Amino acid sequence: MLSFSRDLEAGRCAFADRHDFRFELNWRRVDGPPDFDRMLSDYAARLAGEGDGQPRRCDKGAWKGLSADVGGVRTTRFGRYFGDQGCLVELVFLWPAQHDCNLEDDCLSGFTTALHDGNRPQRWRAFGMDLLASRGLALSEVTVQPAHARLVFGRPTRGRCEIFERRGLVQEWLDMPLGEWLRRTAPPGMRVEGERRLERRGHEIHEVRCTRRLAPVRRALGLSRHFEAAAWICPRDSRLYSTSVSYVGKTAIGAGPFAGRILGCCEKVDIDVKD
Amino acid sequence: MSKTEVTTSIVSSRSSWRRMLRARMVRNAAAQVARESDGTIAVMVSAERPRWMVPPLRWMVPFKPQRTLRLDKLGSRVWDLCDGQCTVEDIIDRFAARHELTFHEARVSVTSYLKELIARGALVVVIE
Repeated sequence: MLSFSRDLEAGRCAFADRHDFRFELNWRRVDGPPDFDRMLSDYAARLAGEGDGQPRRCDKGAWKGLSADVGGVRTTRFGRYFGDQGCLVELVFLWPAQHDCNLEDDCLSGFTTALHDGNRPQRWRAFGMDLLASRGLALSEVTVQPAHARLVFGRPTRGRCEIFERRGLVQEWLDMPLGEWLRRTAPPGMRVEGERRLERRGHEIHEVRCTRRLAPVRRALGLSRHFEAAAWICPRDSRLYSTSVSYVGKTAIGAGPFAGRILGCCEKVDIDVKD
Repeated sequence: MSKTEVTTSIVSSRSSWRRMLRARMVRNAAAQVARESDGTIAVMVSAERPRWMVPPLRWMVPFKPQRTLRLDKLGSRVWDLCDGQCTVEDIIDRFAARHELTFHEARVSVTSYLKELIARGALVVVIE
């Protein structure tokens, strides 16, 4: 992935491989279904006016498409309106080599939108992670760097916050036991209440539970800030997966076990939504 | 920017993308290389006195005729791959394979590091 957006109203994700094949996903909330025929004919006319070759319609199922040679590269562009979301989606393929119709068909037929149900956890699949964030928590932060992806739901300083991370190059920077590293991820002032290590299908999972006393007024109400976290190294891709949940409450709710319940790494530790 | 312009700009950047991947990295022949016991590398690069460094500025601003770049372990591995034979694509591939990264993850890390070494005079890029 070369670029991404987290704006639900309008945005773009762009993917490319080293051979210049490029795939773009654009979305925009609109009030109603657009006039695709007019849009595509305008676009075709513009391409023809700019001297780009042979624009022609190539609708596939519900996708309205146009194929053309733009700058000498075969480009196929498909649009579709998803009424349940009020969202206009455009998929663009740039084929520097051969036009792979099978791949194109797979992308188009496999594209679906997910309705956000406020009563259920939100499932996200991004940057090598498969995760379930609690209902009502908004995605507040996305960090994507080489060998490090981090998604934050909620605000770390107030209320409930859930953080999901995936790190690579582990052998280069992890210079302590994983359990100790996990303890150090706890926010300052946290007291470790419990730790455990469990095994799940070849994955050694470390979990830690911490609490911190709050200001006197909230303490008088019996409230504490709780922090629960888990980390493991997936033997399949040698990446370190970690997740943490912090919240204010009277008692720890026991958010774990985390692996495979709210964060999955591979098919052995996969999210089972039925859990 | 219209969609056509976006697509055209993508297309025009493709040739530079391919050239970048095919480029070869050559070490500065004048640089001295010292390998440390922990596997890291120090590269000593001679620097020319800048033209603007004339008296009285020259008397006040210290000038080091040789700069030492200390490469960490990852940087040292990248340096080892810059043998004048490997292309940038080869270096990225080997780095990615060794560290179990995707091509693009390794590309971002490796190319930014190579740019830094080029800027500091340790490497030159040969584009054929």
